[in-house]
Amino acid sequence: MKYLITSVAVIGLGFLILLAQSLSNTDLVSNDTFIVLLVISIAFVVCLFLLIIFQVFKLLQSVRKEITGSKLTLRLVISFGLMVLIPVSIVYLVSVNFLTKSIESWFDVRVESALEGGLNLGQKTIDILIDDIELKGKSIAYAIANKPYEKREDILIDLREKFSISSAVLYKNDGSISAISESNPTIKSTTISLEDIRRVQNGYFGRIEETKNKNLLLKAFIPIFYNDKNQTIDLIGSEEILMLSQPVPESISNMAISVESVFEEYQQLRYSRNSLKIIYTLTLTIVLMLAILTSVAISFVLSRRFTRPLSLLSEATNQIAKGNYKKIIPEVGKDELGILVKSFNSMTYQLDTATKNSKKNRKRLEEARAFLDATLTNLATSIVVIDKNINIKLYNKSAAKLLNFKLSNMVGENLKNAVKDMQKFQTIFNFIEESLGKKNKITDISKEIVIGSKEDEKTLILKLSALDESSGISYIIVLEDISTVAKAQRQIAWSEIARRLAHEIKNPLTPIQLSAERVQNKIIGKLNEADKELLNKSTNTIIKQVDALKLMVNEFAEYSRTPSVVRKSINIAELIDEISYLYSDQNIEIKKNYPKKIKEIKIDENKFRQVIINIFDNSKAATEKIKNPKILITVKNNKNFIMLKFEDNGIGIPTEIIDKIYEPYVTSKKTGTGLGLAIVNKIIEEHSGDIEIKNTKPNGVCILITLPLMEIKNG
Amino acid sequence: MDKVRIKLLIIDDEKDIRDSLKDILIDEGYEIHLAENALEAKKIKVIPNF
Repeated sequence: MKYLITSVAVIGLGFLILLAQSLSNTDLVSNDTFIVLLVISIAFVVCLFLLIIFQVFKLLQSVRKEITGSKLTLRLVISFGLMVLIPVSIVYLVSVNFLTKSIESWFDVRVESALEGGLNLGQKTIDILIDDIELKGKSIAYAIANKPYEKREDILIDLREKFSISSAVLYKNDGSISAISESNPTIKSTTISLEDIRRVQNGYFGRIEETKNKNLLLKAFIPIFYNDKNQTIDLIGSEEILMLSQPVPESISNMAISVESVFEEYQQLRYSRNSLKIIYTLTLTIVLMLAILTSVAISFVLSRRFTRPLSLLSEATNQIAKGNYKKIIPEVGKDELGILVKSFNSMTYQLDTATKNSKKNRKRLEEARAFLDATLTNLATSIVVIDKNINIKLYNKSAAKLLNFKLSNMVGENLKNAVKDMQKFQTIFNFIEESLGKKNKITDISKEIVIGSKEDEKTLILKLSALDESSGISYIIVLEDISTVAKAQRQIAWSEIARRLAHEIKNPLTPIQLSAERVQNKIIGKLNEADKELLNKSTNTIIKQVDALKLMVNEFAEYSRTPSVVRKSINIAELIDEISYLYSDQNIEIKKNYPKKIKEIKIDENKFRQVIINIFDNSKAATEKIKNPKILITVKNNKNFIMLKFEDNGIGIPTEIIDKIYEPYVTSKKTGTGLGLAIVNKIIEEHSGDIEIKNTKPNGVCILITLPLMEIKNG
Repeated sequence: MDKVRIKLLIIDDEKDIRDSLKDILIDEGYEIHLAENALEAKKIKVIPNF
């Protein structure tokens, strides 16, 4: 765009110069070149004007659209325009005025009369010269006429020299030369036209002629009538013509010519005065327009140049505000703007780097936080962070589950309000309040707390530690449910007791039995029939009860023995079939639900036999008083597990013992040792399996055993 | 009645078991020796090369 404007302006100015030059030529109005130039100039002015209008329109549009830098451009354009417009307008007005005045002054009356005077003066001088030469001609003619014809040439030469005339020629009537006398023979103006011959018949006359050399030549033609008395030849009546030629002195002729030409020009100008005024004014106006428009156009270009880096900067600033740090402004030069742009670019780069770094840091922080969150969430240990007013700041899923929170999000809530069953956790709250109440700084307090009623007892380890943060002191409560551990410990203790008990009880049993038998053998022969019977009965009772005791002790021993599993790949369904066959003669219905293909599993067959027998025995005992006793055995395969499900429709397990069912010595049977399920549980554990026992509705028990197909190495 | 008496050595840490076994086996006509443990048993040189 700017090239277009500049080129148009330059071409316009060029034409303007041509126009001015052609203006200085004479004969303006009829000058075709001038008119053509004028039209072209006007066309350029119009073009420039349209261009500028277009530019202004565009600029206004961009201002309306609030494109950055457009307002500044507009202001600059207006300033530049005014800067040019005001002085140029003043100069224009003065010039037009001045021009009109000067043109008027050219055509002043005095000038005109002076010119006319000069012209008249020349005319008069020439007239006088003509009169003079006519007079001289008449004198010569008279002298020739009164002398004899033969002497005419001598007189002619004589008088010509006396009158100092440059040339005198005597013509006959037919135009032929009769006599000639010339001061300078080079002037060959010796012919006479027929018209002159005819004219001279009516009398003498003089006139002025222009020679080929642009010199003025005075000529006088005089008829000569010869007198009779003097004539010796028969020429009487005949006439001859005298022609005198005398060049006008050069100074006079030049002056006359110049005055004449100037006057002629002046007259012409006088007639075209008004059109001249118009043309000058028009030219001036066009010059003005071109100047103004060119400068406006240049102001556009300059403004753009000034505002471009600024608008780029402004746009870049906007981009940065939007968070785009990639914007690099092209460098514009080595001036202040260039330095500004350079600094801006380096600032942008630094901002970009800083933002990237902060983003990276934030991401790292978030990752760390997410990791911590995930860890906390999946941690089995319960963690609650509270402030000094026991308001919850943070907690994990395990904590919510353990403390049984009312809602899913309890952050900011008081710990006491968050918990549903206040009574249950009273000991914990008491401990926390007591610890926080102390003036000493808390450093890692640890306490074992037992909560809940007897049926729902839980052993927790509570750790409390203070954490100094900038936002104040926080307390981290770590609660670990060690119920399972406690249970395991209890089981170990039981195991030990069983082992000792077995040993201690077994020892005296043998002597008791032996002694009883001995008493029977020794004494029985010495007694009468009634005593014999009594003895037999008593000793038999002793021996039988001791046997029962031995059985119980053996079961204790079995329970407390060290585990050693001998694994073998077997089909568990076959094992179940084999054992269920033993129960087939009894009035219990055994249903089986096996998949088509059962995967082989590596287990200790003998121990599993014991497991299944124990389960069958339990079901048999539970269904003793049920009408249609049933056992449903379901086997399921999985990619990694085999699942065994035993369901019966017996009386079920009393709720008060269901949680302690795996513990030894817990039984609902009158004759049970309480070791059956404890042994089952132990064997399943030894196989890295899982057992779940629950009561089903309306009645009955469901035992679910899950065994991994892959052997899991313990330790 | 010139029956060779068979000698038995009963070693058990339980005195009751030792005693009851002794009574029964004496009735059966064996010669019984008692010891609580191996150390004690070595002191009783009833049987040569025992």
